[in-house]
Amino acid sequence: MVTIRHTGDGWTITHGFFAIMGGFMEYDGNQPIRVLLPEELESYSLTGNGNFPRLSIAEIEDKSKGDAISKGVVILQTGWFITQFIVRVVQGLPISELELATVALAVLNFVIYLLWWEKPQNVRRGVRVYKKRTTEEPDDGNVEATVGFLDALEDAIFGLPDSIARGPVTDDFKDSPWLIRVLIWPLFKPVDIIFPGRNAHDTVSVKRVNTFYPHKWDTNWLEYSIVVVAAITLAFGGIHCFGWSFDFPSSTEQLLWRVASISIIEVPFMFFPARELGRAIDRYLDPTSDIYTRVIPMLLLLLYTLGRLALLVLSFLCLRSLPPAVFHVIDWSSFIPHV
Amino acid sequence: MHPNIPSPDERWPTTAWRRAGLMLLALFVPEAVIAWALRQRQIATGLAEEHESESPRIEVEA
Repeated sequence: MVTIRHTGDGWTITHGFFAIMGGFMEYDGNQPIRVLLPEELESYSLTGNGNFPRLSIAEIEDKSKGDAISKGVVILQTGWFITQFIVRVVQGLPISELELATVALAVLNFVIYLLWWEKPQNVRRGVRVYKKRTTEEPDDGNVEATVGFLDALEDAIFGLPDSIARGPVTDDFKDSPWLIRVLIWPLFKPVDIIFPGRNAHDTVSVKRVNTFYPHKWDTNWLEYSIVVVAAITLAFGGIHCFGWSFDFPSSTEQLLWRVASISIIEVPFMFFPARELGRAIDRYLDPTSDIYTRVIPMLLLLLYTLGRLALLVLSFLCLRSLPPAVFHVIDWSSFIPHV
Repeated sequence: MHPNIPSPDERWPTTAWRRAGLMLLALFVPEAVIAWALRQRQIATGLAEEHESESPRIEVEA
């Protein structure tokens, strides 16, 4: 007797991640046609005969370049670094500014790692899916060929002038001159990722999803998400504030460190008030424009960016004269009672 | 880093460039990467609920 057995309990979060990272690619024979967004999957299947691409979690995980060992190493390494940091504080040993900045980054990267825990890592090709067939099966055609290292490099180098001439583009500044777009891009791109503008759209590059797809927040989660991002920014700046009264090579550097830490912490508090201020100015000067609504928060972000740069540069500059106790190792045995 | 899947038509330098850019972004504005990852997680969770019943089926001889 033949029975039908389900191999799993349906889609997991891994399936969800795989679908939004561009995991399902429509094929015609051996030719990739376009990437399918999650809502388009209904009329496709792995063979062309079904009405949904049914893929097991094991098949998806098989595409991931991460496994228990690589995840374990990341957890152990980060965990060990943070433990050491905490124990140094407990034992009253000084910490270098570079260690502090690294801890701040490590904590945030760890959060990113956890958020992406189930996302398959570094997948290069999606899964082939086919539209439900109505006609005779076509010939398979040629499979993609490997391109040599040098050919690929040559293509990339000759392709470069094109992309330089085009320049970077953010939605709000599509029509600005090239130089402005280049200067503004590093400032605006990150904001664009966090707060997609009204015109934000997930353009389909046909054969891949956008780098930061999905671009839009799920509206049910929007307020919650903004609070989470703000809290994380706060934690990030807060960790840097820990160096408030560290030993600095000079008092200028100490002052700079303090100002830079504050310039990060202020963003989550000031961002929305700044936008309201900008909106008020716009309403007063010219109700049809929203230039100040955008420019005033941008000044805050400029401050943030300068603060981030300063903290990174300072943490290296401070290495030139460290308090000697920074080199003392932790006395681990003091944590074992009766020794 | 857990980037999205590159296009099958693009050559490795393009993919490498994108990855390098993401690394820089994670170094200078880690909040942006957190926002992106958080968004993906929320939507992936939603998709998992929506397609709860879609599982691969195999026929077994009993």
